[in-house]
Amino acid sequence: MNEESSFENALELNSSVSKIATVCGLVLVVFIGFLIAATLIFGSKESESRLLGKQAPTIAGVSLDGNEVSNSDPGTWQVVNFFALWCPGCIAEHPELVKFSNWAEENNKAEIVAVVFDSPNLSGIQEFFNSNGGDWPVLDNPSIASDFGVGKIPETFLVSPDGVVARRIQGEVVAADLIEFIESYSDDKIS
Amino acid sequence: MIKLVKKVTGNKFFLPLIFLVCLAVIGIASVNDESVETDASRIMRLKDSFACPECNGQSVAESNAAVASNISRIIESEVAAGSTDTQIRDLLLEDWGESILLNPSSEGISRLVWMIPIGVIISGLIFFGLYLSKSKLGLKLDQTKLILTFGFLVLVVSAVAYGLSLFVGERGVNEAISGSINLTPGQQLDECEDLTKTGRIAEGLKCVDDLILLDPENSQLLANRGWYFALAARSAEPELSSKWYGLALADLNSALDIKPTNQDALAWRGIIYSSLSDTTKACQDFESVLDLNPDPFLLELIGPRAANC
Amino acid sequence: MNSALGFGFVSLGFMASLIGTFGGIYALISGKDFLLKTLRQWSWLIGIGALGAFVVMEVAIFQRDYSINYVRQVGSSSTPRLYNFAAIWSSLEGSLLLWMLVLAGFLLAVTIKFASKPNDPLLGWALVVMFGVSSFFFLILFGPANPFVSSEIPLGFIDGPGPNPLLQNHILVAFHPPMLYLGYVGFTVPFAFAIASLITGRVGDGWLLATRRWTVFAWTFLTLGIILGAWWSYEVLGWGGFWAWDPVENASLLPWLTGTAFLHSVMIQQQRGILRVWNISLVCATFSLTIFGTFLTRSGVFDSVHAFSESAIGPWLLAFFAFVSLGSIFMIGWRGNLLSSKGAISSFKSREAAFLANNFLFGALAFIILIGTTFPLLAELIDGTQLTIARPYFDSMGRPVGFMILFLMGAAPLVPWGESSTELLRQRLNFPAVAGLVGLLISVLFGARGFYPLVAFTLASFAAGSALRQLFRSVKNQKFRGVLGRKNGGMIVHLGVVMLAVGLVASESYRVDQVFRMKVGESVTLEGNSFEYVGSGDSEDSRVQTRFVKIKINDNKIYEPAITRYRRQGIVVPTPSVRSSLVKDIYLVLDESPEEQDGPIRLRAIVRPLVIWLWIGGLFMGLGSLLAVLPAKKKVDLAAIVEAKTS
Repeated sequence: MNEESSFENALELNSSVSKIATVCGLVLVVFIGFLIAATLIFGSKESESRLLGKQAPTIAGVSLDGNEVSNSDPGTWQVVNFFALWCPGCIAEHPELVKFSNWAEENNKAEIVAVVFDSPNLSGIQEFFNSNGGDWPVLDNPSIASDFGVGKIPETFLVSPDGVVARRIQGEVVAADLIEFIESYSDDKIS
Repeated sequence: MIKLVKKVTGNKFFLPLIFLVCLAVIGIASVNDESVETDASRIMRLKDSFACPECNGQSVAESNAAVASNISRIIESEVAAGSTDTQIRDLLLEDWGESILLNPSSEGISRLVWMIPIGVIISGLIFFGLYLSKSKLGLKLDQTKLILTFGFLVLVVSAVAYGLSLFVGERGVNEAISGSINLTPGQQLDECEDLTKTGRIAEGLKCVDDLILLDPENSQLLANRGWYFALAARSAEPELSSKWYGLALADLNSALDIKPTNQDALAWRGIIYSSLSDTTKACQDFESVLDLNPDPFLLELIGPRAANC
Repeated sequence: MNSALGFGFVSLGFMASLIGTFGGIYALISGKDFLLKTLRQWSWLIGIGALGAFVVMEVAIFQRDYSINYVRQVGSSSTPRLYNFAAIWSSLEGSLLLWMLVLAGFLLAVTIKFASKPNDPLLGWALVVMFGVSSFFFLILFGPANPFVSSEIPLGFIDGPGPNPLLQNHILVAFHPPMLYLGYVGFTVPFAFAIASLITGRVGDGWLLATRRWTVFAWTFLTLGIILGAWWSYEVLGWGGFWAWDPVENASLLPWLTGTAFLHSVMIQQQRGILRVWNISLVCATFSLTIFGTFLTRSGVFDSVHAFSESAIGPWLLAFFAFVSLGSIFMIGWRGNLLSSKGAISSFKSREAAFLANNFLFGALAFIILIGTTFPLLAELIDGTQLTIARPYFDSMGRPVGFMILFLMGAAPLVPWGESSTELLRQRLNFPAVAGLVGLLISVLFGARGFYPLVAFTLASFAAGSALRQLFRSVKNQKFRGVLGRKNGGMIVHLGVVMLAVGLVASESYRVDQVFRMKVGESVTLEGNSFEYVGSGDSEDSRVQTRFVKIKINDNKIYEPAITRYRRQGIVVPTPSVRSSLVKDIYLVLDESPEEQDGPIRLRAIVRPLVIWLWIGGLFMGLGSLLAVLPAKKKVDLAAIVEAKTS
């Protein structure tokens, strides 16, 4: 049977097989449509977290440069950033965090607290900060990551001045994005 | 011997007989002794029916997460305190919402998840039946058609029945356990007790508050309010729970100031100390309770914790 | 250097796949024979590309070449050598390298095996399809999921984290992915041949016969891979169960179900030439579902403890899934006339009807699992409602289907082909029916109660009786060769399934699970077993801190469930201790560890009967599969040969 005539046959949809195939095809198209919607909506950076809207877990400890850090009475926005040196995305977002840190200091609106995630080596971190800028405290306390439910980095949480988790960002952050969020949040805060 | 076996098995009633015997045995053996469900198996059943809120579908029994452990313990202590299944369900629903139920309910969109597969399977069965009847079935067409139609109807009816039972069963169960609480008239404190026991702690607190306004030096009322604060503490976030416990202890201390032999106050305070890991004070209180010859309900309540002294 | 070399191999593979695909299409459409012959060369180049890339990455990991981003993420100087080898597939990009390696392996195997028929268009199109699949995977390795991206090692970086410690717990776990991939990727071969048959119009038996052993091979590894995963979940993860109805777990089960149906249904086509649409649909569905499973695992759309949670390649995988599934449906519709067979099922009581019912049941089960898995996502999209669909749903929906499958597993081998006399059927049913009753009585004797479990045991015994009947007759006639060949090997697989079913039902229905608060020296009992808390202890090394307790079971051996804290990740995991026997498993896990030495604890004890039969059953399934592909004494079936030649 040569292929041209069978193609014509197909268009007539004689065979019951073709009819069933068409129905199945349509159902599949709808299903795939749902999956596309899901990928678009849920694949985005702004993510769900059971912590959203609740009090942030305790962040306490001694930073790598010897200072006491605690979030018991923040009074200002806290950007909790989970990172490690083996994580390329973390390295890539570092300049953005530096940019944000400068803005935060100038405007006295926020502070960054970094938490090391699953890293076997801490000594190099100071070196990294020395050559790449950034002077925010770095904590090495593995339980903080599990309290926040962090499984993959880079991941950043934005905690409001009253200590409520306002946003969770998976993946690399952009300074402008963070700044905009903080500014607009204060305007339409829900009690 | 072999001849006998051949004779028996050759008999046209042999297979139906085996089938019936199987049915009979299953029927008899599946009558479960449902009269007594031990506490332990009840706890297991309850833990299997609630989902761990952050673990994608694992039951509270299956999950290792801290929150799952917490819920497990709430279930255990509620069972020990005598709550019914309904009360436990309501308590957890209040804290966690619908997602705590492991079995999707049959309301709203969840209904679809039961209906779609059953619908598709029934359509498939219809299709299958039509296909078989359409394709040439040989000479004994009429008789075969009859058997086919009958068998097919049986299949459809059982499928529908099964599907319905899932629904009705679901709803029936829902009805049963969402049931209505009959408020017993009588002592006003009992009313507050009932509110608290069904998980409406806030209302229970208000209820007993009103009573304390009328009778501020009543040790029993203060003790009860202290206990309700403690219950609130149990289901609150870590930050708030210490605040609640503080209030609870304040009330219980006042209650004991007024009446140092208040068994309930001592027992409850001991439990709070034990929850706060202050074993020394907890044990002191438990000892005091035991010295007072407490009633069996209290004994049961403090039993597990007092055992650690 | 590694980075450039690795990327070079990926590019080579990618180019070769593209040229093979489009060059092949051109050669086949234009009918230029000589071009066809060159198709084989592209297979070799793809093989070199895939193998080269894989080897380069392994070398980089062993060398701790941290200039490559991926090595930074999964490498570590403290990982033991064996687990370091397995580190490559512990994260997304590397797992794709493994997938491509396995695919290239199969591609080469097909190329070599069918070397004697270089001009056969069926083979040509099959190769083109496989080239097409390779193109896709090399495409994402080339672009969105490039494992060889390198960047300057950040100042201060010394060592990487290594793979997740839970994956370094047991050697078998390290090799769980390759086993699964041999299964998933293996189904590419029958799929490719099926599409080739649709394109060429040669929809007879040719493609089926050619790929039968490949299908069995893939199916075996998929089966073993899934069971291994369940075993690991039980022994290592400490939650007390072996199957959590997690989306990723379900994703591996879906192709297994359609693959099993396919494996059975092709027998009908070989014997009677019917059910052709079913067979093509099943194999296309199986392959599509493996792509869907990959999408599910890697897109980050479904929340799962298993998921790689990488959303970047989600859209690509979804697009490929859409292409494959819609493409298959289109081709099947197009060839509808050709596929519709001349024969038909003539009787309800025929083996053909039984196998058709089988297809239907497996399809129903796959559909139920698919709906259950994807529904929460869809509900959230439409309504915003957060739903949980878990064990109770799958149990109540799946149970009736499972029972019918068990019944059919026993009945189908007994039913003759075509129209059959009731007398013959009745005679064959005798032994299995009695076996069913005996099995039921034995269960009841051992204390089994409850409607569903008893029905399950009866049906399982019935199926066992049917399988044993066949094996007895075959061994009687052919001695030890009686266990070889498709039918006999298949019966052994069925026995394995029976063991698995019995183990599954018993361990779930009669599980007893209780938490005890214990002080040192205390003893508790559960289901006739006594547990004595003897004492506690601590141990630690550079990676973990373990606090364990010693529990003496039945005044005999001491078992040590523990709580393990992985220092760097901050994860705290309960490590179970399991006492297995043929009759039951006693599973101990610490709910609350002692705060000081020999302090009070909360111990969770689970007694599950017959768990070990799950794993034994799995082994039998693998064994039976192997025996099924070994040649038995074949009866020359003229009818089948003539059928094959004329369709």
